[in-house]
Amino acid sequence: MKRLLVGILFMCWVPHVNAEETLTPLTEPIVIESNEVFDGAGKTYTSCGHPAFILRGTGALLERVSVQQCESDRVPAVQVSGLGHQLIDVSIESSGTGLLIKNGYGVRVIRTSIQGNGQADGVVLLNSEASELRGVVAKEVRDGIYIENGFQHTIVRPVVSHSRYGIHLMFPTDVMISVPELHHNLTGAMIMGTNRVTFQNGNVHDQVGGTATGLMLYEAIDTTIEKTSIYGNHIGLYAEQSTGTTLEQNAINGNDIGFQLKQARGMMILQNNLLGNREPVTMVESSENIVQGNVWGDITLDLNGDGYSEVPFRTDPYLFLLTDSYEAFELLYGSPGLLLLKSILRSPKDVSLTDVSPQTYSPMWKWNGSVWNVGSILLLMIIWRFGRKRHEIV
Amino acid sequence: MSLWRMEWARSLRKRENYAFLLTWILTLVLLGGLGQALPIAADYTNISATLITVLGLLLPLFILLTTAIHWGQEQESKRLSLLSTFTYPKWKFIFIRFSSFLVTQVLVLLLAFFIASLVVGQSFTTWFILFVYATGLTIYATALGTLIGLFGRTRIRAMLLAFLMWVVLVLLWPTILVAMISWLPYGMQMNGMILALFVNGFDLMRIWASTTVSSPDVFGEVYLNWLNWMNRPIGSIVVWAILMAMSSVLLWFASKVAWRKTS
Repeated sequence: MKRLLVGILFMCWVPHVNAEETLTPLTEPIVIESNEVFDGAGKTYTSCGHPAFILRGTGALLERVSVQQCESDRVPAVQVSGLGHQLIDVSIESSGTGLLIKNGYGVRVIRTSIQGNGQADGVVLLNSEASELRGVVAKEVRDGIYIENGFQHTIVRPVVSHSRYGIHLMFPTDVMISVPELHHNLTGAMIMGTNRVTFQNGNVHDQVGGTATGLMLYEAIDTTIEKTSIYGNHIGLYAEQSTGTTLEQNAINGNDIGFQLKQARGMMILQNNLLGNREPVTMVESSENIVQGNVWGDITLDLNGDGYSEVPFRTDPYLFLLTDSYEAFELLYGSPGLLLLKSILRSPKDVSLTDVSPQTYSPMWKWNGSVWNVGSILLLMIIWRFGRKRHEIV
Repeated sequence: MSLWRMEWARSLRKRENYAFLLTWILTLVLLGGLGQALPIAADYTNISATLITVLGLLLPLFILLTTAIHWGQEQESKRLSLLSTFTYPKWKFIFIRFSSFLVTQVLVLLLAFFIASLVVGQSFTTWFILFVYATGLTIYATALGTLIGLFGRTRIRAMLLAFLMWVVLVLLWPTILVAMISWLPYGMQMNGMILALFVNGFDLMRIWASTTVSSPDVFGEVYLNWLNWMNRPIGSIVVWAILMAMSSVLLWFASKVAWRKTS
């Protein structure tokens, strides 16, 4: 009886694990034209040397499909152009670009996951407008989400890991990125040549490699980064030749360098928490910024009890200048002797970054003791006590 | 063994041990408390970095001064000359003093770390690396202080020499490196910095501790491969072997100086 039951259970189980049966090889792309709907019902399609799906025209819908590409493919797995298309619950295993949206308008991509091999990008938007990416998950691709030109894109809850850049923006305008989770990439987000990008409520942490940067801004204008946690990176936020950047209410903790600013002017750095970075900020040629109410982890003194220190926080460009000209001197970070060097290389006020009223902070202590701890202390005290006893030869 | 036991008892009875204990407890508790105010739980933050910096600043000074003054006093009171009449090898006597003082300081440090861990919640790895780092600094500073103390004939001279050595090896070290390394061709600067580490045991320990408690990318991309190697067990073994070798050489010089002065 027992064997019969086991046999029945085994027969029920076998069809579910045989994935080969649901694979549908494609000899040519499936083209979805205007207002057509393609519901894959969870099927997996394999394609070699051509895209698996092409969406064109207006208002096409592709949903509930999985795509597997051949290993050496360089073509995109799914290719989209036109207006108002939707992709919902699409899962892609690609060696080429996962999803390419070219010259699209109002394309919506919802709950799409892309697993790559690090050679090509996850989602690529070229010259497109008003696209909406919700819940895109990309892993082991080159750039998780790559956007070139175009404007008014919205990216909500993207999760990108183990890639080169989590999000890579090249010259788009008016991009809104909400609740991103970017980790274990070389750089969390690379924002370059953009205008009016907003990055909010994000989690950018534990980037890897020698550069390991959370967010990188290069020639970006009017970028807003707010309420984002950036931690465990080599550099939390790097901004170069960027103007009008607003950094507000971010938690930038536990990075080797919190902010690194180079020729970054007209910035507003307000109410950020920079506790726990080895160096909260290094900068050069980055004066004329509004800096107020940040927690820097430096000496504070609150005389009137308003929560803000009367002692300003001031950072000099000396360390940046030193390591920018001579990379070898990065080994000096954290050296006790820097206290002296800091005073020797002190810069005039007009080229330093000063927070006139940094927020105060207090240390916290809580009981962490255990029986083992207390026992060890007692044992050491006993050793000390008995070790002290006179033990002269004569 | 009975001589070692006698020296250790003498070392434990010294009152400065209480001052050391208090200093280390205060440093660890005050800075560690800031670490607990962080909104994230990262192992390597500026708190652990600051602890490495502060220990690297204070510990060499305290230990150098203590050992140098101690040996200066031994010479000033002619006790060293008296001891030289014993049929006991001088290197052995110096080593007994060195090791008994070292064990005492390790005991003081261990006690301070355990007491601080009652109210400061760092991971075991962080505590362990910090303790090992402090022990490494103590070994090197004790050996250096022994040589300085034997070199200076009086307490005041030994103290001044110890202070001067601390200023050069700790306080002025980055300034000296910046002044010298920036003259080297670009391609040689990194090698120059690495070479300089093996001249100064304090700096070697700082780099080793920072890399071990953090990650090899902590000093940027140029040192990534080298620090990756240092982060591996073989790297740590080599670093510690070099520290021990440097300390042994200093002690060997110290025994030579002692021999010259008492013969």
